[in-house]
Amino acid sequence: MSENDQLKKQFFFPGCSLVSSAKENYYSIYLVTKYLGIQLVELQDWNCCGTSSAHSINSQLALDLALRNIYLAREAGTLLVACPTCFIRLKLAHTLIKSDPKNINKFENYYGARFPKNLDIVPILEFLKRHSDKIKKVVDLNGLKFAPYYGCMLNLPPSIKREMTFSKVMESLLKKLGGNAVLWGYKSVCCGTFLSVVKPETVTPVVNKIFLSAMEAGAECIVTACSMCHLNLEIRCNLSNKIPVFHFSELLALAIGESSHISWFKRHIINPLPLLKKKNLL
Amino acid sequence: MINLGYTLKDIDTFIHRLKDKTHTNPYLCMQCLTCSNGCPYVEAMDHPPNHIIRYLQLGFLDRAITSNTIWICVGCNTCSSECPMAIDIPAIFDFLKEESLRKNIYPDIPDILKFHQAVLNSIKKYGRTHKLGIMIEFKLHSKGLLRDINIGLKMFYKQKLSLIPSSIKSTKEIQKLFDKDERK
Repeated sequence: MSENDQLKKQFFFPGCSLVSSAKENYYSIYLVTKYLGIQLVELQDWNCCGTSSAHSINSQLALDLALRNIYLAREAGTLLVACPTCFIRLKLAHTLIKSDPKNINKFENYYGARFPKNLDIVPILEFLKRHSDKIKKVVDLNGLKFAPYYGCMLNLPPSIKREMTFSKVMESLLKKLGGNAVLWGYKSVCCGTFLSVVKPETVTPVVNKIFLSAMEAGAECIVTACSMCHLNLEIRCNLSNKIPVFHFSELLALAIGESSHISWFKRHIINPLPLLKKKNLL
Repeated sequence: MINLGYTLKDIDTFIHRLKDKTHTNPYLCMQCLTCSNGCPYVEAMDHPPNHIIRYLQLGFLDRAITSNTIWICVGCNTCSSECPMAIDIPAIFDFLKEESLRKNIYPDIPDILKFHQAVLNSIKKYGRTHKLGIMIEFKLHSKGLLRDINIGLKMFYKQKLSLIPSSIKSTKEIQKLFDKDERK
């Protein structure tokens, strides 16, 4: 029996960023879940959730794109979703269909399969919160001062807001691993998403304020829960003196003793290696 | 100002359709300004979000639909998650954007629409977004062809832009979803 056979299987929806610009986020999530005794199984042939663009100009298409993934995950039971935007799109679609028997009928006629009413769509922070007891410190983060940045993750649309909250998940887990969260005001100010491409002059001042606020609070780095936030913070900050930005999963993987991290950290645009060396984490 | 020729009756049916589609009621808004005070991108908008809701309440649909606010909004839900009346403001803006396209009113920041279209083209082709392809299509259709070239190169050097798109196997199924939608 191979090692993987002993692991509990968990269906996983990585989203487009994790298989392209944020592969380091994917690898580190993979290692953290493996440490938790879970084998991630990528949802076969998953498609893009439609991101901001589909629901902006074509709401029916946004719903249809999300529903195909729900159809693919119909036997999964729980579907772990790495990206906050994907999570919101999938969860909203699921909630909308579930709420109306007419919608369920339409779904079942189109796909010729039962609508998975009880599919539990779980964002990565909620998943880590559920497993936080099992995460034990191997490498001490040596008091690394970090600014926990949630972006829009804490702001869910009203129809799904009541179901979960992730505030303090990053703070409590990283504290347990030897990190030190700073108190700051910008933890849920949006990174700008697509405005970063079409109106960078609008996004840069906001991103700069996020960095300045974190640095003023004494943070040595910013920790993000979303790969798009990570990218926008890295490319849109034009301050001469900036602190590195980590994916939450990278620091978790580092602290539980995974050592393949050099290859991920090399993918960062703001070089995190000097800080990690200073903190004796490499 | 553009007059889209909405009659009083049109306004009624419009708001009715809006409520039906977005499951949210703009008449609940009491203009407390929580949305506009919290919005991180309000400075780039021609009207703060609460004004758009006010226009809907008063039946000034033209002003709501032609505003760039509905296009600048990135849907971060800072407003809706704090709204004391639980109004899903980004959902209302999505509805207004689609309505404006139906009326052939295009945003005064054309790049936003071009970007969204480039993203959808990529999804139609591969079932997933291919960042490099989207950037190339977007750059060719927008004004600043060379803007951000250094960031693009940096991302490429850091292997954040793949040359080969990650594609799904059943692109035909995605095609069908697009076709189904265009037939409507």
